[in-house]
Amino acid sequence: MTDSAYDAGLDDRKLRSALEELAEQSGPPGSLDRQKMQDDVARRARRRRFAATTSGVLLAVVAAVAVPVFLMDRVGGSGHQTAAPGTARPPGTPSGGPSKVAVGPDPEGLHYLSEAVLHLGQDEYGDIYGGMKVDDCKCSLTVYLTDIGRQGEFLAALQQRTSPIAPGLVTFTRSMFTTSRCRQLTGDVMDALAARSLPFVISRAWTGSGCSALNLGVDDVAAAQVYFADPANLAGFEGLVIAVEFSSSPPVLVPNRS
Amino acid sequence: MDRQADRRWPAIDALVTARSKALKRYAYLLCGSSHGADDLVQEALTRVLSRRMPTDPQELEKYVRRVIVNIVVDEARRTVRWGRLLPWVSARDEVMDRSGEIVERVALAEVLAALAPRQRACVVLRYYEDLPVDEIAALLGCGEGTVKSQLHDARRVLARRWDVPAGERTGIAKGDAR
Repeated sequence: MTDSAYDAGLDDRKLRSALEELAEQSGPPGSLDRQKMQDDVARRARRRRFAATTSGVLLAVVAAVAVPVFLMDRVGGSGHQTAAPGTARPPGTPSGGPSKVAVGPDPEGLHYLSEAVLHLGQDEYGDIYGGMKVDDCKCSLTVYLTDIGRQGEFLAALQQRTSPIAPGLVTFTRSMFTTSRCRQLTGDVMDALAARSLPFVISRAWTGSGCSALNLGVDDVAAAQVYFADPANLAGFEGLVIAVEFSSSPPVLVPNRS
Repeated sequence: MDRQADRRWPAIDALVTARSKALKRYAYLLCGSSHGADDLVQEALTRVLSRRMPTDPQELEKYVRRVIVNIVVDEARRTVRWGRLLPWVSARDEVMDRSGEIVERVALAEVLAALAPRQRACVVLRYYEDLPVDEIAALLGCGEGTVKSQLHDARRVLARRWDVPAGERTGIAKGDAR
């Protein structure tokens, strides 16, 4: 589109020369007020520094909040395997651990019991403790142990802390790995996968109850299933079930797809 | 005083020595007042001093010109915003209805002053700076279509109101009933 197409009746050359003439009327340039300019520059620099400091502090606060959440998600803390310590604590319970109180089949009691199981599993039975699953609907708690033969011993120790426990409230199931071994194995798998060229992006990783499986949130489920169906790709991870499901979260591993 | 700005002063001094008149003219066409043009150039140079700036003299001048036009357009935006708020904080002045008056032909400066700041900037950049439409669009941070539309509207106003001697005019604005 040429300028003449914008309208008729206006001569571009005349407009150009008229603008030149008009510019001539601007008069001689005034001298610069250097002092004012220097003051303005200094003021702008101060304002920039303040803005940078403020945004840095805000960024640090956001990072302090977001990074632990992100890391928990990556390492495999699903959040529903173990009840978070400090939640639903009965009134008067000290924060160092649950004291010996009666536990009934109610949600509050269940959460209190899960806290006791967690302490016991991490402290005294770390060699066999494989996590737990709390079922709020059925009001039951499943404890995973690698040595199921010691369930009576575990229950007795638990009752010493929380007795009496309502019958049927706690059940036991065998798990493949202890929680610490599961965490280590998960870390190894993630490290190994990070070093490979994968045909999909991993955006989440978490373990199932009792470390029954390592669950991966991926962008391409079909490609991931094909990949993990090949035994050669699972070398070194024997015994660990890897399950995949679709996830659109931001990636934790971005493998080379080339 | 900022040390970085200290290092930038020689380049600014060189630019002012060599091109202050050209910058003043450019600013004058954009703002329409001699004092305003001086202030505009000074403000632009201050802003340039506060940032990283090109070392090449020609690029530096281009950069200063870009800052000048941005200041003009930004100021206009602020004025429009304030204009919207003004009725809430002060009594409204009575506005005379001039729609029935015959539009007289006036000098170019007055017609330019009547243009919207962005239209005015487009006219100056196109017909004084001789910039192509795509460069104007990049400079003003808008699309080429917007620039063409602004130029179109500005040219219609100029064709209708600008007092070009009759013998010098090449034609008459057609279909301009506004």
